[in-house]
Amino acid sequence: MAKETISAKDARNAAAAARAEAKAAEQARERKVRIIGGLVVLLVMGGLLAIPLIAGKNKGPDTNASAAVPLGVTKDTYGVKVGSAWTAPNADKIPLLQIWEDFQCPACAQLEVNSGAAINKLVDAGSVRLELRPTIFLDDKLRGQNVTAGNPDSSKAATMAFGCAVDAGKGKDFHSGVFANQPPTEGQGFSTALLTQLAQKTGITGADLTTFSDCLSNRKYEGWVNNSFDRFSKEGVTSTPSGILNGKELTGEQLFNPDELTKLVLAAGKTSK
Amino acid sequence: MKRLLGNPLVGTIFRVILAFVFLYAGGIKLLEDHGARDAIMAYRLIPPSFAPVLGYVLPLVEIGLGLLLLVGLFVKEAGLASAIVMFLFIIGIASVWIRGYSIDCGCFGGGGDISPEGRSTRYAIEIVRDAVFTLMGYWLYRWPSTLIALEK
Repeated sequence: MAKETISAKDARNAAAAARAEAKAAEQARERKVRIIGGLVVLLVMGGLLAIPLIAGKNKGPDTNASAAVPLGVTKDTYGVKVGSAWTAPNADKIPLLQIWEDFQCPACAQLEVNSGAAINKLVDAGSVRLELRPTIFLDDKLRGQNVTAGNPDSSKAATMAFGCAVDAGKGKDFHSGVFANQPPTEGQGFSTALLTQLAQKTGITGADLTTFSDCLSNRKYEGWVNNSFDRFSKEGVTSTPSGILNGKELTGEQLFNPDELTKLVLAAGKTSK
Repeated sequence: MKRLLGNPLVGTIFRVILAFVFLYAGGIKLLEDHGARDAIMAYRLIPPSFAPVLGYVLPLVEIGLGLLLLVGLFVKEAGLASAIVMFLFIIGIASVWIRGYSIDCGCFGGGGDISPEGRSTRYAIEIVRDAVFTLMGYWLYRWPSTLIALEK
């Protein structure tokens, strides 16, 4: 009898144990499903992240080798060549000064104030081949402010207008005009109206002004701007303004000090002769 | 018929609805240039330097939540996270409304500043919609047991 009682108890215990075991097994299964499922979801998320990363890398700025370039611009650098030195018989002996700028960059406007006159003097004397190389990296950084001010992608807009002004033969003047009329607050950007007004100030009028406006509103030089911006990244330039004299990057002190800059350019002219 | 509140069938429907909303919203954002970056910037709530990262993090979080809800894993946690995310969207929309901006919420792609016409109606509809989604998320947090789920 006693034996039977024990075995009934055993049976109950065994059933309880089996239930507990089943429950434990169920919990283990669920834990496994959660871990594996969670990992799969994380993997899918990681995999999806690769799509925009790859797409973004391949895209960069939308470069297009067949895009139109402003008058006198060549596709080796996409820079705007300024001055008579470029067409001098001994042009390759004349020092080459390349300046990277973004029209929304306050320091670039300051460079124009500090060294603009000195650079113009060198250009007018034919002592330097000046190449203005536009970039638009600030469009990304100032997007929020640009959008708020109603002037999205202002660096691109100003650079496209610059290209249109180059066609009208007023590139350098327009370039100076834009920097002289930078908005008081960085990020306010440039409206189409302001850019057109600045073009007028350089003496682009009548039929030329119509051509300028069409050129700007049709975004004729958007491809050129993107190509130049692509070079900015590819050539490893990280900030603006950057001055490069005969392939050697100048320091800020050299670039912003007109006397120093003049001396360096003239010295470079002597050594290359 | 079981009582309505906490009914697993209702929970299942909510789960699937939220899953597809998240998968669609996240997927469409992910395929856009820079993800949701420009849409996020239009809210003028976070420093612009964070926007490029959040532009991809947000759609990925949405897709992750969508996947968990779709297959029925971590339903309780995903429900809570959904409710929080949706509530944050409501705060975002309310804040641009109060500050007087007129933006496309960028909820399902797009985004940026748009014409202020019908601004209030638009914002109101979006807030109500997101409030409904918030409640669905809370429901799943409160009663995570649903049908056709990988977890019990």
